[in-house]
Amino acid sequence: MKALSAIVLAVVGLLFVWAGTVKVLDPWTFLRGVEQFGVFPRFTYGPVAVIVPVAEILTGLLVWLPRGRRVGALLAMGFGTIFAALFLAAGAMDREVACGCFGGAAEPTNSLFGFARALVLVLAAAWIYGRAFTAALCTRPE
Amino acid sequence: MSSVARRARQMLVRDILAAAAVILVSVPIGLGLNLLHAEPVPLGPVPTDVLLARSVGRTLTPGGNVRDITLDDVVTAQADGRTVILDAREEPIFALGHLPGARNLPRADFASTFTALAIDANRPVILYCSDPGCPDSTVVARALTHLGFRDVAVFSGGWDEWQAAGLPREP
Repeated sequence: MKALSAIVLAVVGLLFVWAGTVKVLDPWTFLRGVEQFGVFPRFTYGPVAVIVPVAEILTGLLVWLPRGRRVGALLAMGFGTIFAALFLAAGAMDREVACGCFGGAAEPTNSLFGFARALVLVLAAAWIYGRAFTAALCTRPE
Repeated sequence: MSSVARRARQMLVRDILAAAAVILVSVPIGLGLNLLHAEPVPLGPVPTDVLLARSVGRTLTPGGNVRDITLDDVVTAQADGRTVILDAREEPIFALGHLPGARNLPRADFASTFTALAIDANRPVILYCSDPGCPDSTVVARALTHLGFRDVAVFSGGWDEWQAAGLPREP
């Protein structure tokens, strides 16, 4: 179980740090992805493209740090839920979005695949949060 | 409420507040990093044609001005053999019928199609889509001006006006 936990922590943290870093390096690609979802007001494209990548990097780093793990996992759940909802909405509108989620946005992501990927992320983050929360609750008063 | 349940609730509230604090901290860091970027993204509304042009991955030139032309202008331009005629409609619609010699540059696949077409930016270009109510020809035309095309025109009457005039078509 410890090995599985370490793998999940490493993967979820790495995904967020990687996703945030490629977006910080190329905010225009992510901005185009935000536009393609077609659910955000136009004036939010820039702020979303600039702020979300940094929050993703911090999320990944917090997941790796034992003291920040619960907060990181909670943020990961939040981001995952938002991404899942966005892909669901894109699918409902019959759109394939080149979201730039992990860089290289030339190819559109199939909405169902995007939704499934986000859902796996939510479940992994929920598992991390649950374990960290239970451990904190059982071992020390806050 | 038991002490464990109370503690769990306190922990959850603290976690949510800390998560909100992380988002708040991301704001100044993100804005700062954007300022350091070679091409910062605008924080206000971004025109669609600029986004489209930027998706090609080139440095943009100032642009945005396109001419509106008539059916007669298109017929004349078609005869000169130098003008590139581009259809901004989706590929399946384009395949059903288009202006003779027109090439397909849909808004949805702009970056990859534009690169594949490799159009000479020094040639005059005419864009059209379905009818005057269709915005894609203007958006794509403006995007082309940001990519260095200097002579870009829009035939706003589009495919509907061309067909209504009984002019030749492909296929």
